[in-house]
Amino acid sequence: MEYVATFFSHFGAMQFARKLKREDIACQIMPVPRQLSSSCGSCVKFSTKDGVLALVDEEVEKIYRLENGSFSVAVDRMERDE
Amino acid sequence: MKKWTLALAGAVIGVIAVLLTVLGNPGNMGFCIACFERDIAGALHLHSAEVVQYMRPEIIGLVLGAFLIAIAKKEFKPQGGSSPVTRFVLGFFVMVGALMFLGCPLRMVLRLGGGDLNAVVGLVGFVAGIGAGVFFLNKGFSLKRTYRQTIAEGAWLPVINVAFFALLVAFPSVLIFSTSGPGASHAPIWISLLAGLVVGAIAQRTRLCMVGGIRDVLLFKDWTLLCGFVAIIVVALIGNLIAGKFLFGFAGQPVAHTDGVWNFLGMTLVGFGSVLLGGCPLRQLILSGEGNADSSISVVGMLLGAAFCHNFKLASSGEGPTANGKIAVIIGLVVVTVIAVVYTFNKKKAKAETPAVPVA
Repeated sequence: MEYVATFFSHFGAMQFARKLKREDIACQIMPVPRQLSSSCGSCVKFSTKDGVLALVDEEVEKIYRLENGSFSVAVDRMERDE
Repeated sequence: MKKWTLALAGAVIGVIAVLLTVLGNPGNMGFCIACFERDIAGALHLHSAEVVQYMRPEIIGLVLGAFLIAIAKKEFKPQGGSSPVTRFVLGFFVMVGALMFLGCPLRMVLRLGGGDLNAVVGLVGFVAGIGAGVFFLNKGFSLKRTYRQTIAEGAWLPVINVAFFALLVAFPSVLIFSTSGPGASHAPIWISLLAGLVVGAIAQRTRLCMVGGIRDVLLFKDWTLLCGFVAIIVVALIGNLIAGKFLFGFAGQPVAHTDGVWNFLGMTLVGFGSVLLGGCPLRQLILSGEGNADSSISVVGMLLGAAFCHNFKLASSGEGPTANGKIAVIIGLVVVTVIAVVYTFNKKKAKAETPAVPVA
């Protein structure tokens, strides 16, 4: 399954990509696709067969599933969750 | 978002900007977020520089254009809570830098298209400032996360802009209007408003940003946003040639000065501060329209910064920078650097203390 993760900061995206690389998950850091958000930060595109919840850290804003060219929300941390 | 979409958006903005100067706006000032917020500060009695006071409908239009299209496209998403006071301070000093140079990044681009070579010096400083900001982004800079907010929190800036427009058309006597100077040069009210609405909507759809374009090239080698930037220059250049407003060189440029060092440093401050804010002054207006309370606070910081610039003689004029302005720009560079260092360093400390917590 392919995923796109968005973050609260560019550094969050960089750390996330580093973490994925340590776990041998192929990924790419890039600008957030326009259809996902009107904000213009950095995102990480990656693919994994396993669930994504274990990958979530405090810098992750959302994770989207990418299926047949369309996105659906897999994780949303935008609401106050503390 | 395709590169040609951004190029087309930039081209439309370039045409509108040149048309506004033909219809009465000051030279190379179809749009200038810094100058126009400064004029609004003057109209609201926040400063008393008599030549730069006008309730610019372009600004009102930019915010409301972004607001209306964001509502229509279900992208009005009130959020905030990401270091608002720090953003206020950054907005303040971005304005100090912009009024040293005499223009926001958008006007810098329009000045380039008008043949103003001082803007080339500004551009080099701007890129240097963005480079400094990107350095800290890569080291861990973050103003901390944002949170969902109430609709009211997100709607305040659009509402305030509606009130500003109501004052302009229904109760103009409570505002101050320049009778000479740049503040007295303006296109007709409804045309300015319409221009702002259209450009605001375009900028919301395309995420056009003067800072973002250069930042994305430095971070990702992604040229998409920069296409809009380049298209504005090319189209403004052609438009100025057709309108007979093209003037090539350093001297005698409209609302500009020729002090290279301070044009450079002013825009360095703008670039550095804007990267930390996450977008240029135009982008802050657009994000405010989308309900971003953090951007609204940045806009208020810029508005107040503009008032300070004129009350304390920090702003340059056609004659050049002032001694006070030079001191303020140096202070601004120091403050922005300190903010960058603190928010880079604090971040790491917080990370070490709180392990990452997965949420279900």
